[in-house]
Amino acid sequence: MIVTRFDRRRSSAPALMLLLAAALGSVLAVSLAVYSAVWASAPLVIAIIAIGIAARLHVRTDHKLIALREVLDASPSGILCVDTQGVIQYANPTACAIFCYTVDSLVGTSVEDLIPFDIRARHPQLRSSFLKERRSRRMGEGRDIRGVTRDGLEIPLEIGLTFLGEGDNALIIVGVIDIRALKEAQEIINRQNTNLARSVRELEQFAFAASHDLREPLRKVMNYIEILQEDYEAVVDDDGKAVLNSMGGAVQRMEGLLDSLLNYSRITTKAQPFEAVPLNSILADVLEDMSLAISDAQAKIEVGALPVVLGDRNQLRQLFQNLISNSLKYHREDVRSHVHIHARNDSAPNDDKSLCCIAVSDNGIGFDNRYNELIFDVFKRLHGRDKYQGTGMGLAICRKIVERHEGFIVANGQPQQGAVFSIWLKQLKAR
Amino acid sequence: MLMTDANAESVGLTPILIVDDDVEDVHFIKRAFKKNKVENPLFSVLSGEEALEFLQRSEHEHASYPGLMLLDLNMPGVGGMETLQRIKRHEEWRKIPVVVFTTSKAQEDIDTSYRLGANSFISKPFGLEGLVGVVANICQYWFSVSALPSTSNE
Repeated sequence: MIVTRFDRRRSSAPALMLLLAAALGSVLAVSLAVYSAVWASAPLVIAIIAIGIAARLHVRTDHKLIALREVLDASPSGILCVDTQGVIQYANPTACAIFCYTVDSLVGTSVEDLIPFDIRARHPQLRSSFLKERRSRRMGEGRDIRGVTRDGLEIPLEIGLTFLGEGDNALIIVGVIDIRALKEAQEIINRQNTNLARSVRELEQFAFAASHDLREPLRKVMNYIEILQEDYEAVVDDDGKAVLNSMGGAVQRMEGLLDSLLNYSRITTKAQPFEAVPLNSILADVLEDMSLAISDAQAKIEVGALPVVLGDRNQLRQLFQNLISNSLKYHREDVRSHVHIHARNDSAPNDDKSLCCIAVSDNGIGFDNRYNELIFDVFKRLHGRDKYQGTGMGLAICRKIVERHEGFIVANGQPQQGAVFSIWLKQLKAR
Repeated sequence: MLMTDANAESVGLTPILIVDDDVEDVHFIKRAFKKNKVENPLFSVLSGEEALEFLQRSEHEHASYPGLMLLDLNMPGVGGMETLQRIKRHEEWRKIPVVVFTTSKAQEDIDTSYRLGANSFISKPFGLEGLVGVVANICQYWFSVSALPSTSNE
C-alpha cells in the first residue's frame, strides 16, 4: 500500500495537493455554513479563497505547494487526513492544539485515539461505511460530537467529513472545530436569559403587587380626607379646606397612576391566549363603548376594511381604544376631530411578511417627531397636566400590548397637522 | 368580635351583616349606610368564622337572619370564598342575599364569586362619596326592587 505522506520534508504530490485543496474547501465550507454567525469566520473565508486560488493555479512548483501547505497549516480550523486503516496522515497545527498534541505528533497515530471511549470500538466500522457511502457531510447530524484529548479530556467538537482518492489510497478529510468556547458562551447566555426572564417576571409581579397593595392605604387616606371635609367643616378654616382639597386632588392622581400601573402590569400577568381576532369587530366594539365620548367631541371616525389578526381580544380592544381616545384628546381647537383607521401595505420594521399594518391617523395637534419614541415611555407626558389630563400610561400600554403580540407600533407626528400610529400585527388570513 | 349598631328604632328591621377584617373599612361602610339613612341594625364581624358563628347563633336563638350580607374576600382564616360557599350550600342560609364587596377587580374573583352563588359582586370604590353611592344602590336593589326572601327563622 502506497500512502502519500504529506509533510514539509516530502512535499511532492501535486495531484493529491489539488484534490486535498478542493476537499478541504468543501469541509471548511460546511463548517463555515454552520458557524458563520457565531464563529470568527473571516480567517476561514480567507483560507477557502486561498485554497480555491491555489487549486486553479494548477499547482506545478514546489513553491506553490509550500504556499498551499502554509495555508492549511495556518487554518483556524483543525484539519486531519485519515487513511483507510484509520492512521492519521496529516494534522495541521490547529488540530494538534485541539487534541493537545505537539505539532506533527498526531501523524502516524490512529484516529481512534481521538474518539471517546464509549464509541471507540465501533468507530472503525463507522469509518468504513463512510468510505463506502462517499458523501461529504457534517458529522453527528444534530447530535453533540465529542473528541478525546491526549489528556483523556472529552471536548465538544463540530466535525465536517469529506473524502478523496479511491480504494486503498482513499483518504478521509476531517475538518474539526473546537466548540468548547461556543458551548460555554451558550451556557452563559442561557443562564443569563433564565435570570433575565426571572427578573422580568419578578418585576411584573412587583408592579402588580405594589400597585394593588398601595391602593389600599391610599383609599383610606381619601376616605379620611372626605370625613375631615364633611364632619369638621365647621372647625376647619378656608385655608385648611384648600389644603384638604389639594390633598384630595393629589391622592386621586396617585390613585390614577397606580391604576394605570396595575393595568400595565396586567398586560403580562393577566394575559389571555391568542386567538383569531377580526379587527373590524374589535373596532365596532370599541366605537360602541366610546360612542358617548365620540359624539361629545363631534368627532368623525372612519374605519376601513381591516385584517384578521392573531391576538388577545381584550388587549387589542384596549390598544385601539387607547389610540382613539388619544386622538380625541389631542384634537386641535376649532378643528373637528377626524380619526381614520385603515389597513396599509407598509412593510414591518423587521420586514416580516406575516405582519400586516394598520394605521390610526388623526388631524389633531400632532407632536414634534423628535419625541416619537419618548411618547411610548411609562408615565411620559409631552404636555402639562393642567392642559391635558391623564397619567402618561396610555401609549406605554399600547406599546406593551403590541410587543406582547410580537408586533410593532411606530408614531409619526407633525405639529398642528396630526399624528399617525402605525401598528404591525400577525395577520391570520388574507382580507 | 361582634359589633352592632342596633338601637331602639331599628328593632324589628332585618339586620345587615358586614363581614370584613379591616376595621377601618367596616367603619366607612357603616358610615355610608347611615348617610343613606338606612335604619336596619348593622352588625359586623371580622372574619369568615365569625360570620358563620353569627348565622349559627341566629339559627339557635330563632332570631332573624341578615336581610343582606356584605362579604369581603381577602380575609385570614376562613376566607370570603369559603364563607360564601358554606353559606350558599346551607339549606336555609343560602336565601340570604350576599354581596361580595372587595377591593379585588380580578376577573377570576368575579367568576368564582358568581359560581359559588354570590348575588352580586362590587369592587370597593375609591373615596367615601363613591362608597355612599354604591351602598345607596345596594340598598335600593335589595330593599326595594328585589322581593326580599323570607329570612325569618320560624
